[in-house]
Amino acid sequence: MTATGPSSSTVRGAPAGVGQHRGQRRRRPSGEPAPLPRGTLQTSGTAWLVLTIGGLVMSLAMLIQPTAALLTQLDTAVLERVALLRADGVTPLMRDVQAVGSQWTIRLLWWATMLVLVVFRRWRHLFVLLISMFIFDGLLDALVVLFARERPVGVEVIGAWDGFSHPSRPVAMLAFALVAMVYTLAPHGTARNRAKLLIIAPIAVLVIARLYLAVDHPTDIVAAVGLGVTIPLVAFRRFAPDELFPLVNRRGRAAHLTIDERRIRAIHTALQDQLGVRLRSVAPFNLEESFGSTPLRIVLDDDTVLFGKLYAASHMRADRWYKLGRTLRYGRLEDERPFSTVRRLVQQEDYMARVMRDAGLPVAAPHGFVELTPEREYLLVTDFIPDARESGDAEITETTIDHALRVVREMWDAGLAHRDVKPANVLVRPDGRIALIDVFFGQIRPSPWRQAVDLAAMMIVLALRTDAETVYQHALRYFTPEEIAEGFAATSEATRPSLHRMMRTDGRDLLARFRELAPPHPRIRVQRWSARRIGLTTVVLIGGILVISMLVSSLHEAGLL
Amino acid sequence: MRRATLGALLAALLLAGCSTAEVADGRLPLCGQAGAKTTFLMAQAAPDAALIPCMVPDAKPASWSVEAMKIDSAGTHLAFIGDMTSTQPQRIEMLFSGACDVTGTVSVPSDEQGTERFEHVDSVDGGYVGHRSYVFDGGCVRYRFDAPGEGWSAVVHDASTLWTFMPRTEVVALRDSALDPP
Repeated sequence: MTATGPSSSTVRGAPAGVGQHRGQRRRRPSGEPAPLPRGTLQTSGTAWLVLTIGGLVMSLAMLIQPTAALLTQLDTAVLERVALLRADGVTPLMRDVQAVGSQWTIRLLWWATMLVLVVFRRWRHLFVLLISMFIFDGLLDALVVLFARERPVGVEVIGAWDGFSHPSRPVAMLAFALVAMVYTLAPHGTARNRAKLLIIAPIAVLVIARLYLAVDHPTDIVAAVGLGVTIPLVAFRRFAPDELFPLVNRRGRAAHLTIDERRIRAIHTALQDQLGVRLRSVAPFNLEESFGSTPLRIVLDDDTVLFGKLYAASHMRADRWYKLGRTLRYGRLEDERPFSTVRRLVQQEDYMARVMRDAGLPVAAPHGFVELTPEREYLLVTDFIPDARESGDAEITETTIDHALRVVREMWDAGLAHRDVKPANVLVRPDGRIALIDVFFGQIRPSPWRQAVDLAAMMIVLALRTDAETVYQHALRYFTPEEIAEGFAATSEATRPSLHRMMRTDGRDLLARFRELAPPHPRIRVQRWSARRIGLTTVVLIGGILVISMLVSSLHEAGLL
Repeated sequence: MRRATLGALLAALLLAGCSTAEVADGRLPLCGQAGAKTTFLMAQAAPDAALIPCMVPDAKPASWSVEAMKIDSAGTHLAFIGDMTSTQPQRIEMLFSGACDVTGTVSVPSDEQGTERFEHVDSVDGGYVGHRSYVFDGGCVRYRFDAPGEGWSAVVHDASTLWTFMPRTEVVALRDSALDPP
């Protein structure tokens, strides 16, 4: 079969306006902050950090004799005043209150938090929690042994204690557990602010009890609160910031960024400065079908509707982990390389959209991308394809089948591969023709194997809503039986895991049916055991065991196991 | 900034990687100024004890390592394991508290001034399992031996050489001089 001419169906839903506003664009001068400056610790985070460093300096001063004596005198003076308040009826109550900081309380809080994080699949927060706990516990142990401070002297100690006193371990552990709960369970905003106020009470109660019983010096408590609050606070704000890893109280994908006021303002500025268009509104769009970015519907002030894809560092990392997982599970497919920066990732998609558009393929016309945060967050802008439906939900007519297969043929002829053909990425327009979206995985001069997989994937997508025989007959118009056979010989679960899941749900073994229709072809193996894969698997296994054993040991030493 | 963050993280990980037992080694209750902070805390754990047990510096056999060390308001527990590479390692524990039960033990002449000594043998079959107690004003120290194998007598001897006592007044004086040197 021979190739036909271009399908002349490049999708240009938007008015030409986007490209005509060059004059309104503005270059950001050197030194001016980006539209969405990088997340910071915020005022309270910085204040805690400064207080903790101050506390640490105070603690270190205890290693020098004159200041140690002075601080101890001050501590004793405070404890003596507190001891004057002791009363027979209050002391047993204070001893009971100490249970607030007991190992069992901390264990309960810790495991409850972990359980919620697992249930809601907040893996990032879970990872940050474990690592920060590991560091916190090690630091606490080291400081306790370094200072080796006795329990208060000069005032009768009337409560239970354990080990050296500085910093106060129960207070530090309770503060850490509660702050970690606030940052992993309470969503940013009113809920978190209320939770922050709420956790002050148990910490204050424990502090009062320990001072009353004279088991800790006041400076032990100050240092403990500083450490227990600052370490989780800085860890979560730095490594799981809300703008990139928002807490969502449902079991869902965490890949999506929060489209809050701050981000909307940044998108407005970026679109105006970098593309010369004025934003009227922006809202998340079709989030359920998006795995690796946050899709947006953008409306300009002249009613032009555009489609945006927000890419952040979290998406790049997710892509990297996904590719590592695939490599370990299936072997490294010959053309999969992770991206090193978000800029490169978004550049790739924009470039592929332009190449495909120039090849006459039906893709949403690209308008470039804008930078929100340098090297961390970008917004890719394309035309919005109006009234199109995903092929998984749309009616698949003979026109659709014919056009879809012709598009694959055109990709072959142009030396291109889409590499992610699935129902969500094949849209059906009202006239029955298709449009391809999500060209992020696209490739120029792909291997013949990749092209063959694209064909088989498109045929399966079409057959999921029709039947294998009809699709096969249409395919013969553009491809030889041998080419079709090659496609299904190259396709396996490793190449298109999501399509295989859909076929299982569908119930029909479409792959087997297509293989029956096509001439026999030896299977093309893609799963390759290489020295690299073996090495990588070994390293990941050893690394995983090491990390788990270190964490388990840390949890055990912290009394959490 | 990224490098600084990674550097700080690595340093914290390395610090956190040190186990409690490793850091506890540096805080053993050595007699004299070197172990003053630990012996003082032990004294706080048994506030009426006239004597505080301590380790003679440099007397700990090199093959012994700290298995556990806990000082709390109930007392002190310090456990050593002798020769961890052995399939049947010896375990020597020291427990120090305000009092202990010496029922069923045998009183023997004490080798430590101001104390009464009691011995109790659980087993001498293929090693030695038993405990030795020193009782004194306001306190008691018990050494537990679990020393399988033929070398058990050396273990008991090493423990006897390692541990001794300091008067409480001396422990307090050492702490005071560290905090407020003359």
